[in-house]
Amino acid sequence: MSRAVTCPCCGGGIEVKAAGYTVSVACQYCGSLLDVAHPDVKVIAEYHQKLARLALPLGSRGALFGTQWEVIGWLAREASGYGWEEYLLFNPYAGYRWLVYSNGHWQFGQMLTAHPKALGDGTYGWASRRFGAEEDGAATITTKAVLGEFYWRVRAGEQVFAESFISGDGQSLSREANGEEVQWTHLVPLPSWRIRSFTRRQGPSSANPPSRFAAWWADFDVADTSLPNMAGIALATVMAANLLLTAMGSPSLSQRGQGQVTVDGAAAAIPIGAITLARPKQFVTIKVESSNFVNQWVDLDYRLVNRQTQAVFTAPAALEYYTGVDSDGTWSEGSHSAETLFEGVPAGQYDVVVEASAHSWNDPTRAAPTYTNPFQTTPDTIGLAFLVEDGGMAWGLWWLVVAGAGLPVLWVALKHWSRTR
Amino acid sequence: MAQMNCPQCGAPLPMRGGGLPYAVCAYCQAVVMRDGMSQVGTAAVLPYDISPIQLGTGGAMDGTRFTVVGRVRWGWSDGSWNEWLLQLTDGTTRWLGEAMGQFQLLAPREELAERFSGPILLGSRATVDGQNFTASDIKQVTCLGGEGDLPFACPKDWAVESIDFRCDTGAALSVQRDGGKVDVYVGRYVELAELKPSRLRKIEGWTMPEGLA
Repeated sequence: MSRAVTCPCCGGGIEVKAAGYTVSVACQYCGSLLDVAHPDVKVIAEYHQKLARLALPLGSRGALFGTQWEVIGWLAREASGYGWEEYLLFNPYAGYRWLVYSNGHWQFGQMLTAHPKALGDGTYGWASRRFGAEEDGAATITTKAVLGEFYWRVRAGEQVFAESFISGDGQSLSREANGEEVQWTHLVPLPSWRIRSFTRRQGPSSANPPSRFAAWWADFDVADTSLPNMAGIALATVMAANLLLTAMGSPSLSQRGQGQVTVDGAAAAIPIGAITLARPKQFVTIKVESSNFVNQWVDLDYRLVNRQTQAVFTAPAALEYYTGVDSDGTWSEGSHSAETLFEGVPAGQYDVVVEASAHSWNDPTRAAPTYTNPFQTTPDTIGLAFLVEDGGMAWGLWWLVVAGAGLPVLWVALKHWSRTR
Repeated sequence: MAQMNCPQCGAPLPMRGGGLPYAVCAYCQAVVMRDGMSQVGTAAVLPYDISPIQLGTGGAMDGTRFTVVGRVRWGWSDGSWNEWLLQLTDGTTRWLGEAMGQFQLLAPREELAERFSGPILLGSRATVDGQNFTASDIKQVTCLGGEGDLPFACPKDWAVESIDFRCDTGAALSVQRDGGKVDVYVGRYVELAELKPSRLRKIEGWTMPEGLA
């Protein structure tokens, strides 16, 4: 249930999701800005703007930090010629949050009810972190366009003075002042895969026309293709590829190393040792396993440095593991181990060095004392064990061969099967 | 639960709180004075809102159980908010302010009324319980309606001056002035989950988070 209003400009029916909180609505049909603070809906500004195509559609829902959120508002903002987007999220039991989308990166924001502590030297302390002023972090922000509903009287063109402060681990605090009020927001970076749940197709949509693929599939006829012949050729290809890749990749030497990294602390450089590669070109595999952690992630940068030529081969890896609770129950994502493959490393003696940094998710939807699970201890340091091997099965390549050889067979088989029904 | 009937329409008027002097009839919005069971006014019908709180919602604060027994909704030119009345098992009451999805837990502090009866401007400072507050918001507000058991009759179009003070520790201070009468409330911002609420309102289309169910 929600409150329904009619746009006085275009007559469109608008569902107010956060009834009772929402003050302004930008009509999703014509863009006009409406005042819904009172029972009689008033027009603040008629825009009839061309409606923007949003990365997260209004009304889409997704889960973040164990809570389901609905996208109810969108702002396009700009400072010093640089533009970005902000999405207002709402859950009636958890209130409001923000998703800020800037230059391809997402941040999750929560408004603070307590102001951060000024530490005197221009830095601020909050949640046992120290936030320093960001270079060029002070700016006047102008709201360029709005869509959806808001709990304040929003308008395009409104300006706030903003300052931002960052901590060593990429979290930030934003302070916005409009002359009457000061609002602080805490922002944590969010990898873009965590946004995917908002853009997944939601609910059945039977009205969709059949896709082009479906039409083409219906027209495709394979009556004359010999299925057994195709399957035989595919199998031979796959087996030959397996033998070849295994021969190229079997390990002949290995090197182990270990170290640890402090969560939300300084990056740790972990030397693993030297390996000598004999073949002209080979794969090098680095496997990592970590001690147990929850709602944290470790960024790893591997470097192979050739002692003679000083040539450097780099590859990144990440360990991440999150758990939470949503409408489907308890969920967990991620893994405590990872495998990274270097391809085509030339012969030589190499030093293997790892740079590791660990970060924690400060889950803002959870009040600390209420939710602490005594069985989940979150250590301040994460132990890491590495295994470096020359060789390594190029599984990506292998699956490509399997797919390349197998798909046509599967294709024809499916077609046969669908024709015989 | 003591049961009495509305003198206006005859509907049951359950007594939710202990000894609160007024009750709003859920059927005809008559404001009834418990002492003598006489109608003293009519409250406005509450507009629909999506609050997770409802009359009967239970919870705990600082180790004491409470039940939500009443609500007043206030509006000003740019919006509106709820004040939920909590009846604690120790006989005292608190207000749970709900605005913009954030909650404030406030206790009435009669002994402070004198200090806040003078002029207050934006930026005025006050120190209460060792906390430094700054007046951040001064506005004229109107009672949009009420429900349940209440410490005052909430007549339609009842207008008062509302002053919010902010503090950088998450403490909250709110002053309401109606002519010569000054009410001061002191408390703090809270998360809904830390009140361990029960019997929250079910909102269609939303799943209650596990920590709140």
